[in-house]
Formats: sequence, C-alpha cells, structure tokens
Amino acid sequence: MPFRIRSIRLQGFRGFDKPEEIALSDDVTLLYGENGSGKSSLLQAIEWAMTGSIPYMKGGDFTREDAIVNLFTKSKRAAVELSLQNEGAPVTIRRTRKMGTRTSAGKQPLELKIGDKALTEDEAEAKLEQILNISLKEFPQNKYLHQETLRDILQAKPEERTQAIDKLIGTYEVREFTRTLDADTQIGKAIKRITDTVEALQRDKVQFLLNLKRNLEEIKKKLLEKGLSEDELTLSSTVNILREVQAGAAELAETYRVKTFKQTTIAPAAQSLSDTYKAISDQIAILDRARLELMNKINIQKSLLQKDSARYRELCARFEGMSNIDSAAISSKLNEIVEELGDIGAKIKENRLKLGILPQRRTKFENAKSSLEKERKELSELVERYGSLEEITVKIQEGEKKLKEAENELEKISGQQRLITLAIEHLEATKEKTCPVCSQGIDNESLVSELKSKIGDDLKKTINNLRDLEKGIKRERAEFDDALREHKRLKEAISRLEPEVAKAFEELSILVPGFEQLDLEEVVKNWDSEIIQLSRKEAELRSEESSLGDTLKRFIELVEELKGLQTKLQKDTSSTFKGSALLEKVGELIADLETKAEEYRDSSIVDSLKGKLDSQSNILSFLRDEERTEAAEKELPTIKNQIEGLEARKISLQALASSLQSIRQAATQYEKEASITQLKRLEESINDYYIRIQGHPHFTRFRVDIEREDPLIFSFKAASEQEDTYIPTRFSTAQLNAAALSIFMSNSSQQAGELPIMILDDPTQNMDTAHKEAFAKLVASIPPKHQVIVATEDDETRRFLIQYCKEIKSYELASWTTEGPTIKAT
Amino acid sequence: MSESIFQRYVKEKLPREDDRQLFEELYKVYIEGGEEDLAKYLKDLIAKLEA
Repeated sequence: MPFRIRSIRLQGFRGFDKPEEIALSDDVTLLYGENGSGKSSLLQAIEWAMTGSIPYMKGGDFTREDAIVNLFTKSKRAAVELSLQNEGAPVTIRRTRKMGTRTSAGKQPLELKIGDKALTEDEAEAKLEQILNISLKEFPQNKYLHQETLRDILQAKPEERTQAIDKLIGTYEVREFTRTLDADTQIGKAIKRITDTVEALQRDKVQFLLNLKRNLEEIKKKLLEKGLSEDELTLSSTVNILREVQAGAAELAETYRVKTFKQTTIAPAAQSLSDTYKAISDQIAILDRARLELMNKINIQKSLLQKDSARYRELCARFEGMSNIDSAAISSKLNEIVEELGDIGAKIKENRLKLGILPQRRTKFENAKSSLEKERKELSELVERYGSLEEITVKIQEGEKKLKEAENELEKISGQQRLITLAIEHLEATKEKTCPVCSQGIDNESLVSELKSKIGDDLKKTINNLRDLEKGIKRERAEFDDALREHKRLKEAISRLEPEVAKAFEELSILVPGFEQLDLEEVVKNWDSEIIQLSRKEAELRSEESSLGDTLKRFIELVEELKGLQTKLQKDTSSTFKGSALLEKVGELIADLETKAEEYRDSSIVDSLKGKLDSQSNILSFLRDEERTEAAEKELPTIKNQIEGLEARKISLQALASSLQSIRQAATQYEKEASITQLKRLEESINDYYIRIQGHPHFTRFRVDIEREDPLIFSFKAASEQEDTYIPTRFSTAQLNAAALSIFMSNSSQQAGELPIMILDDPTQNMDTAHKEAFAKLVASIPPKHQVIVATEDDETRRFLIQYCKEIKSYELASWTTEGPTIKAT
Repeated sequence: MSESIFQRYVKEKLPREDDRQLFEELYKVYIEGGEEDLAKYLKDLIAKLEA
C-alpha cells in the first residue's frame, strides 16, 4: 500500500498563527470556505513541507518581505508537519523556517522521521524522494493543481496557456531555460557598440592622420610658393635663426640697460623651438619697451633743463632790477617797529587790566566803608541807651543783689506760712484748749480761724509782692545781658572791618593814587581814550612792518631761488659757471641730450630682430604640424591593434550568439518532442478523464497539437470521428476547465510514485452545475487508487462531493482573525 | 522527463564541442540559480566579451 498523508500540523505558517492540526481522509478531504479563509494556505503547507518552496511566490512583492512566516506569530517561526503512513513505520515530515527579509531567501530545514530514525537536510530529502519514489522538485506539477495554473489555462493567451500546460507536464523549466537564452538583443547591442567604437577609431585616428598629412602638404606648398627653400623648412635652420636673434637681443640688452637675458639651449624639436620663440619674442618686447622708456627719460631731462634755463634767465634779470634794495636797513627798521609795537601792546594791556579791576576794587572799598559806619552807629545808640560797658556791668551786679534779697525774704515768709499751717492742722486735730507751751487756756476755734485768716490774707499778699519783684529784677537782668552781648559783638565787628577798609583803600590808591580827590568816571574815560590812540598807532606800525617784510621776503626768496637753480644747473653741467656762462653751458648739454634721444628713437635694430623672428612663425607652425603628423603616424600601429582586438571581440560575440541560437534550437526541439511524447502518452488517460467530466456531446475526444514551434505553442482541440475544432474558440470555459483537469489528473496518475495524491485548489472555478456534478462523481471514483484533497469556495461543488464521496472528511474554514481561521469539521 | 535526458538530447544535437561546453555551463547555472542567475550570467558573459 502506498503512502497516505494522515494529518497536517502547522503553526506560524501563512495565515495561521495558532497551532492547528487537520486529520485527512485516505480517500477524499474537502476544505470549504470563502475566499481568504486559508484553504490555499493549508494546501501550500503540504507543498512547502515537501519541497521547501511555493512556485507562485516568486519575484515582485515576494522579494520585499517574507510571505511564508505568519506576520503576527510571536516566535517569528513557521513550522509544518505532515504525518504519512503506509503499511510500514510512520513517517513524519517537518519543515521549519525563521522569518527572513524576503520569501525566497533563508534556511528552511527539513527533518524526516521514519519510525525512530531521524534524518535532516539533504539526507532527509534524498531519503524522502527514495521512499516516496518521486522527484520532490516535480511535486507541484504532479500532485498539486494550483488555482493559478488552472486560471492561466482558462483565461490566458495561447503562449501563456502553453506555459501552463508545460507546468502540468513538466517541461516548463526547459521552456524557461530556452527563453532566458534569448540574448540576441543584448549581443546585438554589444556588437553595435564595438562597431561604433571601430568606426570612431578609424574616423578619429586614421582619417585624422590622413587629414594631417594633406594639410601639411598644402602648408609646405604655400611656404615654398612664398619663396622659402626646402632647407629653410627644417628644424636646424630655425635653430640657427633663433640663436642669431637670441644673440642680437643679448647685445641690445646692454645698450638699453636691461638685465642680461638668460641664454637658453635651443633643442631641435618643434615644441621646444616654439617655447624658445615665445621667450625671445618676450625679450624683444622688453627691449623695445626699454628703448622707449630711455628715450622718454632723456626727453623729460631735456625738457626740465630747458625750463630751468629759462627760469634762471628770468631770475637773473629780476635780480638786476632789485640791486638798489638795502636789506640791512630794512631789517634794522623792522626791529625798531617790532620794539615799539611791544611797548604799545604792553601799555594797552595795562590800561585794559586797570579798566577791568577798577570797578571791583571800588565796590569792595565802598562796601567795607559802609559796613563799618553802620556798626559804629549801632554801638553809639547802644551806649546812649544802656551806657558804657562798665556801667552795664554795674547795673547787672546791682540787680543780682536785689534779687538775692527778694529771694531771702520770700524764703522767710514761706517758712512762717508752713509753721502756721502745721499749727492749724495740730489745733484742728487735737482740739486742744490749752497752750502746750504756756498752758494758758485758748479758744481753739477762734485761734484756728485767726491763723487761717493770717495765711489767707497777709502772708499770701506778701508772697505775691515778693514774686512780682523777683520777676521784674530778672527781666531787667535779661535786658542788660542782651545789651552786654550786643555791645561785645559790635566791638568785634568794628575791629574786623577797620583793617578791611584800610586794605581796600590802599588797593584803590595803588590803582588810582589820590582817588579821594578824583572823579573816577573821568579817570576811566581817560584810560579808554588812551587805548584808542595806542591801537591806532599799533595798526600804523603793523602796516609799515608788513610792507617792509614783504619787500624783504621777496628779495630773499629771489636770491634763494636764484642760488638754488644756479647750483642745480652747475651740477647738471658739472661746472662752476654763473650767469650767461652757465646758460651757455646748459645749452650745450641740451644739444647733447637731443642727439641721444634721436639715437633711442631709432627702432631699426629691434625691428630687424623682430622681423627675423616673425619670419620663423609660419615655419614653426609647419614644423609643429610635421611633428604632430609624425606622432600620429607612430600611433597608427597601436590603433590598428585596437581595431583588430575589437573585431576579434565582435567575432567572439557573434560566435556566442550563434552558439546560443544552436542551443536554443536544440532545447526547443527537445521541448517539442518531450511535450508531444508526454501528451501522446497521456492522450488515452486525458480522454478518459475528459469524457467523465462531461466534455462535449459531439466532440468526444480531446487533443493537444503543436500550433507553432519557436516558441512552442500548443493548440487545444476537440475532435469527433469526422472533424476537430479549437476548444477556446468554440467551447465554454467550463469545457476548457474540464480539459485542464483532464491533463493534470492523467499526468498526476502516471507520476503517482509511492504518494498517489491529487491536490486540487478551486478546480470548478468556471464550471456549470452539470460539470460540477460530473467532477464530483469523477473525484469519488479516484480513491482508493489516489488520495484526493479538494479546496473550494463553491457550495454546489461541496454538496456534490459530500453526496458522491463515500469516505470524505469535510472541514469548513471561516472567521479569519490574526490568530488564523476557525476550522470546523462538518 | 529528467534533466539528464534533456542534457543528453541537447548535447547530441550540438555538433560543436564549444557549444556543448557552453550549454553545460549555462544549464548548470540555471539549475543552481534559476532564471535570474542565468540572465545575469549571460549579461556578464556578454560584457566580458565586449570589454
């Protein structure tokens, strides 16, 4: 008995986070649920556990994330375990995977347990292929009809449909390999680039050389036509001429006082000669500038001499005209004026000073005098009122004496008053009737009354009088004290003011002696008048001083300038002559300078050198072109080698294109033959399945033919005894669906090995009710030869399968959450 | 329909030894790395021949 898959356990795979286990029927297992409920994921889990890949998860978004490990699983790990059973020991296939960055990368090791024996990795895969007797690589096409494959067969264009068939019969890889070898465009572009490079080299290098040669010949012809000889068009000739010009420039450097030029070695090469040519050209330009500078310098010198000479002549004539001037007398007179101006200035200054301080001193004196007189008057009045100082003192002493007497009397009477008061208190208290002193009888009440009357009237009156007297004495005393203080103050003020008045008097007398007899207003007027007169005199003297000073200054300036100019001209002429002799000498010098300037004005030598140099310009250009042409000629073999190399590469690429073409042809031939062989082999089986899924009432046979060979295109045809027709054009998609299922089932049944299983994902996607029923009947007939797993969202298909399949396990998948779907056995 | 049958078939059809070697080389790349690796290999080979 071959193997059956008994259960699938999975966790963290695709849409399943929490662990799930599904027991499979040995016959038919039905997975029913709406789109996205996890049916395909469960089928993919079987495929992935077996092969480690899911064919439809390639490229695009699958390269950007891991689509195998569940997005929400905390362990970030996927694990699928399949339990297989035959008559032998149980087999467990377990594959795991840690979440990676993309679907196709990362390890996903396989563990295989056969009874107690455990194997891993390559050993496990080899053993699994051996015990199942299948190629794991071919598992997808032989065991698993993907809904995408079915969709491609039903809906795609002929070429894509053929590829889908390729996937079913196992020739898809040959097709993919052959298609990838189609590199004609790439090779064509590479050959084009090489061809362009070769053309560019031929154009830019070879053609360039030819152009150079042609131009060189033309230039040479023109130079010869201009009268130049062949010998002159040589490097040696140019070297000689440049040497000649260089030597001439060196000689002229001395003449024109230019720093000696560095003599360079002239090499017989065009570029070197060009450099030398440029250097000599610069030297000649320097010489020409130096010549012009020298000429200008001499002309300036000559012009200055002419100007100085004219000025000297003029100064001499003016000096003659001023011969009568006595400079010593002028100087003496100027000294006198200066002295007199000094005196006048001092006098004016003195008067102005006196005018300034007179009011102040006058005020000071008058104020001091006024204050003194006031104090003296107040003292006189005080003396008149209170007497002299001695008299005031006596009066104060008398007042003090009177005050003492009044106070003594007041004390005495006060004592009597206290005694009487005590007696009254005693009498009233004791009520005595006899005198304690004399023991005489007394009338107590009368005595008390008498004593009270005495205190109340007599003593009180006397005391009041004495107190009034005391007050009067004190008041008088205070008045005399004030008078005494005032007297002293006035005396002190007078003593202070008297020297002040004397000093102010003296100061004023110094300024205006005998001022008491003078009218000070008149004195001031006199001083003002004197200042005016002195100022007038000062102005006159200053005018005279200025006039004399100017005359003297002009004379001195003339003499100074004359002397200076004479000295300069004597220096210029290197002589000691004066006057007309000196002027004659200057004339000779100017004539010499004119001669020199003429010499420097002559540019013929420089022009000659320049002419010789210029004559080499065109020759040098020719020599440079000649050198460049020679260099290009030397480069030519290298270019040829380059071109040969490129041509060789082109041939290699063409050979590669040819080889690829041969390989593609052979591979395509193989694909065609293998496909036809496989389809022919399957033809009876395909037709058997096709009829059972109720293919067509008239066209009872199904045939796959080759429509085109490169690329290989199949045609799907339905045939009767008399005719055949293309299925996609005449039949419904349900019939096309039936055809695709027929191909898959027949291929799968032939490649069953020791694991005869058919996994069908959404197989009735385009079928009508009748076809669905026929399909269910077909599925029911497949076990026990094959185990079948069908996933569908179609309720009719579900009902037909349950109706016709005897041993069926049915599950419903629903309510998907991040933990996975709810799986319910129905 | 194993790979070895395909390889044998193609090699028998290719008369030139160079072509047979090239086929072996290219098919090995395809088997080991798939379509993408083969395309890259060819691209590099063309670039190498062109350079």
